[in-house]
Amino acid sequence: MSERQERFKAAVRALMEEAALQEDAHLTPERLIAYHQGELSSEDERRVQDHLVVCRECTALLLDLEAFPALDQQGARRLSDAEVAAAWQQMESQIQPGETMGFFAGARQWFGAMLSPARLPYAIAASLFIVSLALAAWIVSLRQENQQLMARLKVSPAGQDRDLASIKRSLQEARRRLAEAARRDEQYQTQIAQLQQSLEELSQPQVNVPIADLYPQGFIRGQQETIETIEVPPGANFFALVLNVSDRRPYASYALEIVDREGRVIWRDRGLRMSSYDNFTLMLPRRLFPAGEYRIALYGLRDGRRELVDRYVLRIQYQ
Amino acid sequence: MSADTEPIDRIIAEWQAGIDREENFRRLFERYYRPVHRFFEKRGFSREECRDLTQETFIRVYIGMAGFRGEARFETWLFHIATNTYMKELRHRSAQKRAGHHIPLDDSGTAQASASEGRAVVDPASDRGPLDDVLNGEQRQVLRQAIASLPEQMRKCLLLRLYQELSYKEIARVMRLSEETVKAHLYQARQRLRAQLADYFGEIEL
Repeated sequence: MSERQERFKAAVRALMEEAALQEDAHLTPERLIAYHQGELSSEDERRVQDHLVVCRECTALLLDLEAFPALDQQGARRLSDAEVAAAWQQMESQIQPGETMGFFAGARQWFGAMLSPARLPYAIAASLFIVSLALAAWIVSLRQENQQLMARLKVSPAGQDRDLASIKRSLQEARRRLAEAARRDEQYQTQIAQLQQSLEELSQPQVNVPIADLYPQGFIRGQQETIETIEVPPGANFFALVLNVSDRRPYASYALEIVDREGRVIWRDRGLRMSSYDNFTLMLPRRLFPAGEYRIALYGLRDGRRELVDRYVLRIQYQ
Repeated sequence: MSADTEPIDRIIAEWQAGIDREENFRRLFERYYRPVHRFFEKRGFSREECRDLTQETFIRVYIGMAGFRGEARFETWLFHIATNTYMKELRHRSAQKRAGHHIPLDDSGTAQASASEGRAVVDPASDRGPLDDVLNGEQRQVLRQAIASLPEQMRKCLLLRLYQELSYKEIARVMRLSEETVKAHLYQARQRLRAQLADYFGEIEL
């Protein structure tokens, strides 16, 4: 390479080092991944490229992300199976105590799933079923106790009259408890039957499910707060909302929150993706939303931050 | 089915359902240990450090597995965790360095310390930068103008080639362009720079 060519390259490198000094931070992994996956706006994409041009570190990370997980096939000596096995042995000893934590995390996840609106009736039914079984066992034990008392009464000679009064009292108490347990059992059985009926209703296909098309507040310039009303007919267990989005800037993901008039959060979820029609469709169960006014907030999540994208106001009326 | 060919979604779903957790996690570990280890190796860590950082990455994966919802590919999620582990390690080292490093009040030791970290030294009291050591004022001006006059994509391809010395294929990946487009940009850039800079730098090769 000629001396002039060397000088040219050195000059470009020096020029870039000057530019690199003005870059104060690396790209976050989230931003790098979003760029790699083509999730950024063209303006954002340009900014990321501007940084990549001057930042060797971020460029190397991006190239590794492109190559991952085939990274180990590049260059260096491949680790042997024995080395990986030794690493696993060390890992295994570290995650063993974590199993307890894993169990609790799993339990939390299970309870969280069971408490979701769709599974709540199943969870209640299961709980009542367990209570019902426990009561049945109690009734059986009381009956056995009762029979033992009767047997003792039959075999007791006249000389044991002094015990008779106390045995009678015990017998009365046992009968009272038996009656109480039977009454509670009947109540639980009724509740189970009601829940089973609800489950059957919820499992049926729904025809002509009411759908409300919601536009965000301020969607029409100058318009004051508008409240969309959805009228739900008696047989409908669900109704659908289509949330149209005014802000088309892409976000890595979205979050939704529904609060009632008193500001109580009725439902929220995150990690949501916008549909290809630039909207979100929500299927809501009737039992979770009593008649009234609700506010829905749509948030965009980017770089770990939450930004309010749109707000909607909805009134639910049941016919 | 071997650990390398078994669908990753199934391994994760079984793990999340609490089925044979240790065995399923071992499969993930064996499948991805090498690329994660290589990720740290490429960043200049010693063999022991690579082993510890890879271990830390997998512990984070284990802790986060219950919450993994499959919105991104598992590999992307794993890469994200490895990158976070790497950045955390860098922050930790940088904090240690700050805590243990004596910064003299006069500037006698600063240049030496910075040079040992491989960083360019800039004296805030002067406007001189690295470019001033290579070119004179007129040359600097001409070079800046010539590069600035290139269309944006062409300029970026050129700088990735000259500054980062990337291959055409790598530039294409970084810029999300085809390799053919990169070649065309670099050809055009060379022609344009030759026309503007031949008097200063002769024939320009890219």
